[in-house]
Order: sequence, then C-alpha cells, then structure tokens
Amino acid sequence: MRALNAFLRDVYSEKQVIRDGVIPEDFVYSSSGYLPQVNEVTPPSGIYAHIAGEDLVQAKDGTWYVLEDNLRIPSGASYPLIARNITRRVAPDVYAANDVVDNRDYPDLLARAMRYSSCGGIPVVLTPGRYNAAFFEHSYLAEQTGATLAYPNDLVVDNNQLYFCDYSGAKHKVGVVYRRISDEYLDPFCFNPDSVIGVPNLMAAYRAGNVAIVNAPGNGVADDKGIYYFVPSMIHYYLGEQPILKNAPTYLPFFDDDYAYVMERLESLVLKDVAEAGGYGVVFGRDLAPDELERLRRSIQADRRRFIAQEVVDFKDLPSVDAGGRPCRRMADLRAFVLTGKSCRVWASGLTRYSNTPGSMVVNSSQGGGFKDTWVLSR
Amino acid sequence: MRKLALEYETRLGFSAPVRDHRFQLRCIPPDLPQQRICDLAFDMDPACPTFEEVDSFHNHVMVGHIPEAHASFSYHMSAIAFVDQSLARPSPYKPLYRYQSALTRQGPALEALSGEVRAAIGTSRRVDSPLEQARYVCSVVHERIAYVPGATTVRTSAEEALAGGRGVCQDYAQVAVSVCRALGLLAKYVAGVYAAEGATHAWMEIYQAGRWHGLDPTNDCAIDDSYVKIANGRDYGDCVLEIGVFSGEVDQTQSVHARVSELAADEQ
Repeated sequence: MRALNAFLRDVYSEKQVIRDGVIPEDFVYSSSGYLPQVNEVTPPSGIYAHIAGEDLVQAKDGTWYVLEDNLRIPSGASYPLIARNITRRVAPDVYAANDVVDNRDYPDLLARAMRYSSCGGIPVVLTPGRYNAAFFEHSYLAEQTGATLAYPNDLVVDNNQLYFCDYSGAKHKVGVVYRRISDEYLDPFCFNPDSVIGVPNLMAAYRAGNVAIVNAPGNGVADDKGIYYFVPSMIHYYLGEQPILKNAPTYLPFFDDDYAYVMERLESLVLKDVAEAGGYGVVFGRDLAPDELERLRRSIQADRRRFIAQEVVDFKDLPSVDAGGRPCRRMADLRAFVLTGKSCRVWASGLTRYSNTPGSMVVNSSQGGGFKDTWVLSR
Repeated sequence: MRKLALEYETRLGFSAPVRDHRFQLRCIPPDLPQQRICDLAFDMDPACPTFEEVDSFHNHVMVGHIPEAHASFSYHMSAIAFVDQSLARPSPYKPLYRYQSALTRQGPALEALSGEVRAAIGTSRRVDSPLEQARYVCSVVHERIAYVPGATTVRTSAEEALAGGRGVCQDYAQVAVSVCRALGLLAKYVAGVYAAEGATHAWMEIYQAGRWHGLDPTNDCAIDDSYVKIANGRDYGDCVLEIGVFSGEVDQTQSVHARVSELAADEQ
C-alpha cells in the first residue's frame, strides 16, 4: 500500500519512476485511469488510496498470490459484516467455540481513515442513488460510520468549499467525501461534461485543498492491469523492500521476450484485456477453439499494450453449497481491505468471493459469483 | 514585438431567468515571457464573488456561483499584451502530449491521413525536424478541411471533423494535433485570440528543442506576434473557455466577441 501510494504521488508529480526507466511511459500515459486533470494536485493528507481492496488467491500448494489491487472504489466490505451478523444470531455457539476475530471494527477503521484526511467539517458518503447496485452498502456504511448519506443534489460548492444541504436548506461544511461515484462522473466541469450525478466545481474545491476525496481521483492508473506487472518493482523502487506476497506470474506482450513466450504458450495462459474490469475481457487460452486462438493472437499482435498474460494459478477451492443446496466445492478468492489514515491497517476479515459455476475461476458478482464471510482466527 | 489591445467578451442570453448558476471561465490570458499581460480588467454581469485557480495544464480558471435569478450572463476581459514569440523560454519535456486524447483519438479517416503523411514525409529528406513535419501536417490539414462555420460543434471529434471535411479552427487544430501525435511528435491544443477575427481562435503547439512552437493549421502558417494564448491542453476538452450549469429549462443564446488590435503608433 505504501508503495502504491508513493507511486500515485510520483506519477501525479515528478514522474521519477518513468524517468528512471522502472515503468515504461506507455503504461502510464495510455492507461485510461491516468487523469492529467489532477496532475500536480496533492490530496490533503497526501494519501491517495484510503481504502484498498486487495484480491488474493491461494494456490493448491498453499502459496498466496495478489491477483489484483483495487484502488478506486473497492466494494463489498458490508457483506461480511452482514453475514457475520446473521450467523451470530443463527448460531451464536459457533463464535463461542472458535477463536474468530471480531470484524465489527470495520466502520471504526473507515471512520478513522476518513477523519484523518478530513479538511474540517462533516464526513459524507456520496451515492449516485438508490438504483445503484451497491446502494445498500452506501447507506449501511454511512449509518455505521456516522457519516451523512448524500445524493449528488445534496452537495454544492459555494465559495470553493463543499457543503451538504440538509432538508431544511441549511448548509453544512463537508471536510471529507467518501464518494461511490467513479472519477469520470465526479465533476462535469472537470471530467465528463454530460454527468448529471456529479457535483459541479467539486474538483476546484479539492484542488484548493478545501475537501478530501476518498479515494483520490486518478487512482485508476495504479490498479490498471498493465501496471500490476510493475508493482513488485515499485515496492523495491520506493521502499527498498522485497514484496511479501507474490504476484501471479505475469507477462507483458509489450516486451519482446514476453511476447514470444505468450505467442508460443497461448493455450495454457489466461489473457486479460487491460481496458476491461469486473471479470470481463478475461480469456483462458485452454477454452478457445483453434480459430478463436488465432483471432486472439492477431489482436495481441495488433495492440501489444492492450493485453497481459498470466499463468493459470491453480487455486484452492472451498466448500460451498450449489443451487440445489447440495455441498460442493467452488473456486474462491479473498478481497482483503486495507485502510490508510495515520497508518495502514488490514481489516481482520474480508470478502471471500466464489464462483457459482463448477470449475470456473471468475468470481465477480457481476458474473453470478457469490460471497462468504471471512474468518480470521486469533489463535 | 507587438503591443496589442485585447478584448474578449461573451454574452449568454436565457429565454427566461435562471437561478443557481455555477460556472468556470478560462478567459484570462496567462502572463508569459512571450506574452506580457498588463492593464488587465475583468468584469461580469451579474457580478458575484469568484475564486481563481490554476488547473493542471497551467490555465487560469475563474470559479463562481450566481444564486439569484438572472436572464443574461456576460463577462468582459480587456488587457494590453506585449507579444514577442521569440522570447518563449524552454519548458520541460511532457510525454503526455504524444498520446492521443478523447477528442483526437484516431478512426479510419485519421489513420489513413496519418499514413499518407508518414509516407510523404518518408520520401522527402527536407522534412525531418518535428517543426518541419508539423508544418507539412498543417498544409495537408488545411487542404483537407473546408472552413465552414456551423458544420461542427464544440463536441465534434477530430475524426468526425476530418471525415466530414468541414469545420472551424477547433477542428483544424485537433486534426493537426492528432496527426502530429501519430507521427510521434509532442503536440498541444491552444485556445486564444488573434488579430483579424471576431471570435476566439485555436491552433497548436509543437515541441522541439526544449520549446513549444505555435502553428496555425486554419491559416497554414506559423503563429506570429498577433497571437495571444488563453488556454492550452491535450484538446478542446482541457481548454473550455466557459462551462456552466444552472436551474431553469430555457433556450440559450451565446455571442462571443474577441478583438485584438495593434495599438496605433502614438499609443505605443
């Protein structure tokens, strides 16, 4: 986390990491998450990723791998909270008999991280509205952290300061906004001019240092699938440390050696389109017919920067129940939440996501995946 | 060196009064070694408190809010500018400007034109410096687009403008920027004013030997001391001179008037 924050600070200021040749400039400038509109804007606390969702998988041999960093709006922390709440009521003895670390401190960790970056004023959670798939989480986290739930129309910028307008029309200064609206819709004056869920002039107030935005706009460049490859070298470059967790073995067709390897071993690799998210644009070479493989080969050849290739990590499956209620085993990954305020804290729980299709490795909820609570044992 | 009197005025008319008008204006020319700005005057009607910021492209931005009902909104800027393009100082190398941006992204028309230009440049030994290449791009773009006001809007992309073959200065500039970037040059979009036009103008800048050099594809020439820069960025999207939102369902009219005149000899 410290390395990723340092990277974000660097690419939005001196860009030393590019000049020193650690990361080729192509991967920064052609990343759709890189926003030159926030170049040279330092967030109030210097923190870019206050909330990070680290997607981890465990291989059959027990090794843990980082599959993906989510530094924009990682969602899902409310689900283990809710699941724990239900099981605690249904089977209280489970928690009496097992040494499971209490996970009810997430709202407190989140509230502290928000308070640390606050520029003075109330905290708000900004939701696009009740039709958003994650609206439950927005309202739940607002309630649990003591923040005010705000719809885009509740927020205005006056005198270059963000205010929340309450039902009586009174305005309350906002010090930190945990926004659940993606960068391109945040402010029609700075990003997409057609956005109707944004707050006009929010970015001007942010630039002036009058409000903190959690997470900072522009973080997409650091969780780009192409940049992922360079995270271990970032850790070395910025911190002088060796990574504790491994990346899944990754190849960039952008580099000639990797390109040759990928072309040769396409059948056994998993290919990811760097522009896609949510489990889309992920192709397993072994599932493709010869003509589809050929087409993929040509797409890679046409735009080598657009793809990354990874070895298929044979990850552990977990016991689950299928649609008919029968016990079964399903592939799963773990999203660990890391909150950064004065210090970095890993929440002693997390979102375990599993695939609902036997043998499938795609666990995203947008593709029909399910979730479980995650127990961290204290013994 | 030229001593110019600048005036720039925009007037928005609404068919019925609007309220809660929030806006951003980029209308103050930056004070640079090659364009010293003095005697700057700015006023708005209705007047309101404004905040001034410098955005990530070093453009001067004015942020404001008019809560009360108003049926028109106008602002007016005037200044004296001492312009001498030869005084431009070195600026750092910014690879960002070699990458296509939202409005310069290439489609079939731009790819074809870029390929053509690349082939033509490859066979001629006289166009090898970035500036010479960009000059050539200007002449080609100037030829391919007919100057037709109203044929495009501020939202028209370079690809659409080139495919349609018609446009205004913004389209010329964005098409030229896109082709230059495809050739591997660093190219910037510039919005500003210049002598002999009633509206604002747009051109481009090319990076060579540590400096940005202005070229005007609309007029197929290098910029001279009658050009005053107001904003710059990757494309028009970074240089929007006026953007606002307000409450009220109304029809809106806009009139823009820019004037750059050389001060008479006895005023110099």
